Parts: sequence; structure tokens; C-alpha cells
Amino acid sequence: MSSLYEQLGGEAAVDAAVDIFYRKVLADDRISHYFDTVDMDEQAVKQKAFLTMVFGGPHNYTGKDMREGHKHLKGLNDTHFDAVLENLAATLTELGVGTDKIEQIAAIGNSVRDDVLNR
Amino acid sequence: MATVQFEDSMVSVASGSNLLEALLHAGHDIPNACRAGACQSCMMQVLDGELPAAAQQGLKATQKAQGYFLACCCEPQTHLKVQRNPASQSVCAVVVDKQLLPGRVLRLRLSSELDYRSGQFVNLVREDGLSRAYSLASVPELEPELEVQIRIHDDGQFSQWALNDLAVGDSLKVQGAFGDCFYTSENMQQPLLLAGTGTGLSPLYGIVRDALRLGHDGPIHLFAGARVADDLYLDKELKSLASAYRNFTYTPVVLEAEIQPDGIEVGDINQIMKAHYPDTKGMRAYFCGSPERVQKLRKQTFLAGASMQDIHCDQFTPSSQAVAA
Repeated sequence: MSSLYEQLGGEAAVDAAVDIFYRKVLADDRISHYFDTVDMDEQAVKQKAFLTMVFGGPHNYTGKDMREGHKHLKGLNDTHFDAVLENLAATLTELGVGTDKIEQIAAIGNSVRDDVLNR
Repeated sequence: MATVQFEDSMVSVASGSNLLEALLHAGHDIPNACRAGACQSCMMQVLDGELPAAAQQGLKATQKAQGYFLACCCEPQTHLKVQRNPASQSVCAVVVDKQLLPGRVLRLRLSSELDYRSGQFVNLVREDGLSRAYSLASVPELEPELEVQIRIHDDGQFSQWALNDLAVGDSLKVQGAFGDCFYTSENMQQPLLLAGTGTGLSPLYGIVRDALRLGHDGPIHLFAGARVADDLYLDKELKSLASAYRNFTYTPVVLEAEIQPDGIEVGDINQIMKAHYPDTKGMRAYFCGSPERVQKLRKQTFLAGASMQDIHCDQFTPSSQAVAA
């Protein structure tokens, strides 16, 4: 049985998802203000690393990175985290990924919730 | 197994391994993080030899064109010669022409042996080390000299010196060329959208002429912004380019005008561009100018459908202090 990442199509699938996901995040009034001051090219690279992780792909993300990377964001809470997961699920639906796989991906995403929210 | 020359040493990369692992194993200090082609920390440049396609997966066309690749995704099949990213040249240049354009812009033409792509930028370095970055408006295949367009600031240390003291025949040091804001010919039908304000126009002028020279087939639309009509310093050149090429459109935009000037749109360049192109899906874009302006243009163009891979930007950050190197 191949890994989730391989079943999704590996790096090519991540590349296809980055634009769609990032566009949804930027267009989402609940969270877009957190992205106003970041460099978009750098952010796209980070989005790719994030998507690689939730797709079950090879990555070196640690809980500590997640904590460090988000702790300067004031007022970040579950609502914002949920919004990101929602945009992730919508991206996957748009790419024709099946419900069972979307659930697996959401579970990986959820596993970093406490680190991102620094609690 | 293949061998790779890195700086002054030689490493061999076993099959099933990759160049990053081999370099780290040999004791080289190479930045890296994900080791999976995602973070791009281990980006390098190939000087000689053929890269496997996987080594450039996910990079921008402009990065591929410069031979950039990811060491962690590179399992070479044949011998390669590579270097750290970015390497720069440092050459001597002689001023061969100096001309004041409208809008307080100084055009310098420099003779030099620099290898570059039109639209990239260089550092011009004075004898005492004072240095400023300028974009290249020239196209190496069209003209032998480098051309930079320098905005004259009242208190600009470098620009005032260039205006008042630098003379034809003087020499300067040129470092570069940097940046990935230039034309690549992998998709000649793609519509191109360009926008810039002030001297942000200079790299765009080079990029447009490079695309036309190479026979770009798709429509090319350049929006040039200035405060007032008198500051549109390349107006004549761009109009003659637009009449020479049926697929090139030039739209001058000014912020302020008492009466509607002929052929010029009045207002905010971002809004005007958006009105022309509410949907940018499939387009390739080039934006140059102040960071705030460029970031807004990039965001609105991405949200309107263009892929991040297709948006190339050059942000002009003004120097606040003299930096002696």
C-alpha cells in the first residue's frame, strides 16, 4: 500500500494545490490580515512545505517550528485555525480528492493545532 | 553514481542518494531544512552538465533559466559542475553616455563585459564603496552597453554624484546581475501584463523589448505610472514600440491631471489595471517599483487568477543611509 502522499500524486499534487489554497487563504476575511505584511514568494514556499506535511509527505516540520512560526501572531485562536482547515478542505475538493482522503489530511492538519495556537 | 564538482572539491553521489546528502557527508556546510524539495533552502546553480528534471520541479521558469536547482532533489546521472546560490560577477564599466531624461531621471550607458538578462539588476559601486542597486533597461542582444535609469533625489548621495560629478570616460565597478525578473521564452503565446511606476519602468522597458525581440506571440500590455504626464520619461520610446508591434499595447497612467490628457488614463494604476484585466488566469506578470505598490499589484493579480509561478516582481527599496562597503 503506497503512502497517502504518493496516492495524492506527490510533489506535483502539492504544486497544483499551492496556488488554489493560498488564494483561498488570502481571500478569506477571517484570516487574510495575518498575511498582509509577509512576502508572497516566501509565503508560497511555506505553504508548499505545509501542504507537503498535511499530505503525509516528507518534511522536517516540528512542533517547535510551528510554535515559533506563529507565536508573534496576535489574537490567533481556534476560529482562525478552523478557517485554514476549511480552506484546505475546499482546495482538496476542488482538486477532486475523495472525502476519505480529505478526512485523513484534516486529521494531520489538526495534529498541529495546539502548537500553532501556542498552548 | 556520478561525480559533481562543487567549488574546488569533487564529490560522488551514489545512486539512490542525492547531491545534498553527498555534500553534507563530505563536510560542506549547505543550508537545508525539509530535504524534500519544499523549503528551497538548498537551492544551487549549475554551471556545467545536465540536471535531472526532478531537481528543478516546482521552481519558477526564471529560476530554471538561470540553472537554479534543489540539491536535495538532485540525483545526477552525469557529471555536473555546480556552485552556491547566488554567485555574482564583479566587473569594471566605463561611462560612455550620460543623458538627462524628463521626470528627473538620469540615463547612463556603460560599457562592460557583464553577463545578464534584461530586467535583472546590478550594484553600481563608486571608488569609495558607496553602492546602489539599479535595474538594467538594456537588452544584451540589442545593444552593447549596459543602460541604467537613475531617479535623481534631492538628497540622494549616489544620484547627485552621478548627476554632477560622474563624467563620460569615468569608470565604476558593477556587481551582478541579480534577480529573477526577466523574460523567458517557454510559452510565447502567454499574455504578458507589466506595470511599473517611476523608474520601475526601466526593467520593464528591457523585458518588453527582450520579449518582442524573441518573437513573443501573445499580447503584451504595459502600464506605466507617474505622478504627472511630464514624468512619463519613456513615453516617446514606448509609443514608437507600440506602433511598431501589433501585439504590444502601452497605457500611460498619471495620478494627477487638471484636464484629461490625450491618450493618458488618470487615476490609481492598480485600479486601472484591474479594470482592464478583472481576470488574470493564465497570464504572466512583471511588476516593478516601490515595495508597497509592487506588493499590492502582486496580490491583486494573484487573487484575480494568475499563478504565483507566473508573477515576477522587482521591488525598489530606497537607500536611507550611505553604506560604505
